[in-house]
Amino acid sequence: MKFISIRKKLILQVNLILGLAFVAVLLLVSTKSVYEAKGALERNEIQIESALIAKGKLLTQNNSEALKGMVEDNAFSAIQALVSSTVMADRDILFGTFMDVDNSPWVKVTPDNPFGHVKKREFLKNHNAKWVAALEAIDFKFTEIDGYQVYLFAAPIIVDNETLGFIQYALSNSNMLTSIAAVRSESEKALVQTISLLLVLSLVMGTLGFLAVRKIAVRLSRPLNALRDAAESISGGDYEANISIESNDEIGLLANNFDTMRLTIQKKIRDLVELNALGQTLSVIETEKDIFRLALINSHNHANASFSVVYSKSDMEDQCHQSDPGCNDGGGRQWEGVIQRLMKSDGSVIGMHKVEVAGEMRAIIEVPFLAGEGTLATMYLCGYDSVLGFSDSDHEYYQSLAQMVLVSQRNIHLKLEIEQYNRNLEITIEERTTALQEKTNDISNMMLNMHQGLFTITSGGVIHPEYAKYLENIFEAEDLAGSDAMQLLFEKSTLRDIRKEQVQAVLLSLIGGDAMMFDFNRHLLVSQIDIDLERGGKKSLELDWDPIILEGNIDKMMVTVRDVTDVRALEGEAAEQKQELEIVGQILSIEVDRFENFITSAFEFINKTRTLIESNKQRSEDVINELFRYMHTIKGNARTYGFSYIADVVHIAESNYDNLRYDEAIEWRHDELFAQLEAVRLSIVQYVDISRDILKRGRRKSVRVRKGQLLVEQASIADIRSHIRSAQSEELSFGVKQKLLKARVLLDLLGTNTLEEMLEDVCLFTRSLAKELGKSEPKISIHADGFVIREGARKLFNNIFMHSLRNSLDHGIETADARTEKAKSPEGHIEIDASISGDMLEMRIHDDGQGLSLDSIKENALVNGKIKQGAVLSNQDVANLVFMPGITTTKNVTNVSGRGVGMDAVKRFVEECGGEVGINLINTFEGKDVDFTPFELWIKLPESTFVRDSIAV
Amino acid sequence: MKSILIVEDSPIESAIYRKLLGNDFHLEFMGSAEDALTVVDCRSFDLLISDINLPGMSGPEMIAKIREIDLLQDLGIAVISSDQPGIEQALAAGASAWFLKPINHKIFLESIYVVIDKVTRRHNNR
Repeated sequence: MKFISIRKKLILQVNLILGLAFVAVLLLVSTKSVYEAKGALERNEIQIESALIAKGKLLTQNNSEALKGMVEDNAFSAIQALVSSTVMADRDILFGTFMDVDNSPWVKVTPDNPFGHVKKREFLKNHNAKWVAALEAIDFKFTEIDGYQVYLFAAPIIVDNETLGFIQYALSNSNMLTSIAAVRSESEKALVQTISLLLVLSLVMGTLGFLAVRKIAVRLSRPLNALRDAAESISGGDYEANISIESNDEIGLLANNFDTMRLTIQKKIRDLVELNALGQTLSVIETEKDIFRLALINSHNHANASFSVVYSKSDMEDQCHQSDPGCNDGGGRQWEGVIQRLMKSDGSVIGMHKVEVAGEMRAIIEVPFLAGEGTLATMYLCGYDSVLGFSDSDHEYYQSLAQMVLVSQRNIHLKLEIEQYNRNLEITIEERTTALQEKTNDISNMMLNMHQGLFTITSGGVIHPEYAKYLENIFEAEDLAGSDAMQLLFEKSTLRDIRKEQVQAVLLSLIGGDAMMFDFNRHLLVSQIDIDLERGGKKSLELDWDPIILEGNIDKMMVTVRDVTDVRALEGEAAEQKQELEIVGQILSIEVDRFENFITSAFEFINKTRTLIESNKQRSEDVINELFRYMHTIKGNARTYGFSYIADVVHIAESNYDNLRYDEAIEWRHDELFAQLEAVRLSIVQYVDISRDILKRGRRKSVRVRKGQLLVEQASIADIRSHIRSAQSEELSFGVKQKLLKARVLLDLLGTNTLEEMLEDVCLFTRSLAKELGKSEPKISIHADGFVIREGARKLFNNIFMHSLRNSLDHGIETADARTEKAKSPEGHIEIDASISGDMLEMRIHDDGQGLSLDSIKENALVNGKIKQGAVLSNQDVANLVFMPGITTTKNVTNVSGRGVGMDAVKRFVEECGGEVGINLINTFEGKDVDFTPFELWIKLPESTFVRDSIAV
Repeated sequence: MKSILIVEDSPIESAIYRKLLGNDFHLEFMGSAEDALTVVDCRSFDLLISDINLPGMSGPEMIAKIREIDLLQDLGIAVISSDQPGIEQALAAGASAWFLKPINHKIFLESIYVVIDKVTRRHNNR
């Protein structure tokens, strides 16, 4: 909007109004005047006209009267004289005419013919004449005659009701018009004069008015402008300028208010600056006391107080401040009394209170510092009423001040708390760091020393830097961190490519995915691989895969690599060993002579088979049949004697011959046939070797029956026995039954042996074993009572004792020197006690060797994974571990034992035939040799293995 | 009894699935992804088992299409793949579980129960 000052507005508008008013008045007046003048003029005109008319009428009337007599008399000259004199007497009358009834004028006075002589007789025919002639009374009309505008008056001259003639006079209005015109011009002149006078007047008045208005406007707007200037300066930031406008109207009021406002703003700004400065200072203050002190001094100065004090409700000390030095002397006390009075009312509002003391009005400003719901402290600013300053805006000032103080105080508290907290935190961190360090060290040590190749695979199939050092040993590689896990594991392995791809696919898909998939696909992760070493040779490795799960997803895959090369080798050897032992057992369970017979006949068959094959170049049904028969026989015999390994190998050859028989497509090939035969031969040779080397048997030529002895089939004996039994069930006398019973017992005893007899071969075996082990031949004492062992249990007994005696000799009984050192006899002592217990045969085997090393057993079991790390086991439990396959306490594996197969085999043998076996630990409290615990092996066997010696009915 | 839709084009594999799962689940067999898509939204299944390699549209493509359907966002989908890229594609398309061939017959039934259970629990937790 365009700015137009009030002054101008005022001037313009007022002048406009005035002007308009004037103009209006002017117009009004002039119009009226004109109008009135016009009216007057018109009236004048009419008056003149009517006067004229009246005159004419009168004249004509008079004349007509006058003429009456004349006309009667026909006084033509008198008429003429009258008319002409009438016309001549009045200027206005222009025409005068006397006309007879025939419209012939007797007299016609015209301006040109003043006497009105009529020269000749004429007849007036114009319309005027006609009109006149028609009149019956006096009348007039306005018409034109000879070019003159006239009023024509005419009257008939009537004598005795007879119209004798007509008198006419035409009066011109020219004079009338002239006088009218004169009057008009006069009045016009007057009007013009009036109007011009008015105009001049209005001009003058207008100018004067304009000037007056201007002056007023100026006078009015001056204070307004002053106000504007003041406002401008204030808005420009200058609060100093005083607004002094003296005016006894609204403007004056406004100016006053404005000034008040200016002062207020000025104060507020000053307060703000003060508070700001205070705030800045407070931010660097360290103690609570100083905060309040600063606030106190600040407020004291702000309020222009004489004495100020802060009473604190907390344990901070009260403070005071005085304008005059020293507030701890008497000066302060005069005020404190006053304050006490005030403090009775628990004020929590900022305000000033007036108190009269000794005739003087004192004022105290109370400023509470509120924290939450309670008052932290209260400040009192005291002074004389007239001196102490407290205005409305000071409420806010002190409020802001109090707020700042509280915030600063809180900050200081917070700072202290934080410092304390930090200190605590540091301590905790140090503790945690130390603990972590220890843990890390422990784990590092583990990783360095463990004998397993533990590592983790992270996403991308990459080996994580933290891995067990042993891994490097296993794969003979270094610096495996970050390298490809698949490559490490499989590069040198004998795994097929397709299998490697499978493992890779599973592994890469599992890591980073849902843990659920692990169980679904773990069967594809290879658990055993063989790797080829650079220097030649192979390693067998077992792999365990364990997912490390984070929030339901597999974060990494942990792999445990175990080098089981030795174990495998051991297992292989143990398997061999086991096989050997089994074969030994098988051989031992047969009488020597029978064994020899079997071997001899088997070799015979083999030779026959060889000859047959050699002498036949192509297949022939007969030949094949014979070959089949040979093998079948050998197999049968082997099965009979329980030579399982021979039987198995022979069975293969036999099946091949069978196939040859029925499938024409199979070729008759010497090389194949010889190879099969050789396998059979070797299997038999194996038995022979074992018999010769381990059992140290020579070859006996034949079975010799000693004098007074008989070889009897067991079947026959069984037969006889069953007859006797059935006889026993008949009705017989007591004596007969006794005799029958005795017979049966005697029979039972046939084909039985005492334990000593049973163990003869085993004892022989033990002797050679002792030699091999470099130990003295042990003394074996057998105490057996009340029973004999059935022949059928020979094999079982052989097996049991072979293993346990071997164990005793190898692990239990020490070398002669060691024993001598322990004050034992140089040769070991093995005691075997056997007796009937309940309806079982109970045997105890005990050697006086060092006993079981329970710790070694436990360690061995851990390494082999038979028990878990940290499992809690009693001594008995540990002892029982020896019955598990693969457990051994020896550090050295010998030809003889240490493969960990012995006791496990014993247990199996015993349990297979319905017996029980166990170990009893014998506690010695002497305290010496606590690493070794003496023990005895006990075995319980069922009735099927023995016969009671006495006749117990 | 819960129902499973099996998308597999090999009759041998289908026979295996029938043998392993037929006693415990109601099974429906489709020989191609296209066929499967026609039934998957008009009948309700508790689980979808699919081979990766199918005639026509591949397994992952089918899965992507199924996941576009609002109501089938929560359908459990297990895939049987012969290689790792197949697994990756299937997971990217929205499969819930994967099996690499050859699957372990002994635990397959149990595994399927686990998948269904997990999918149901996740659905209930929403």
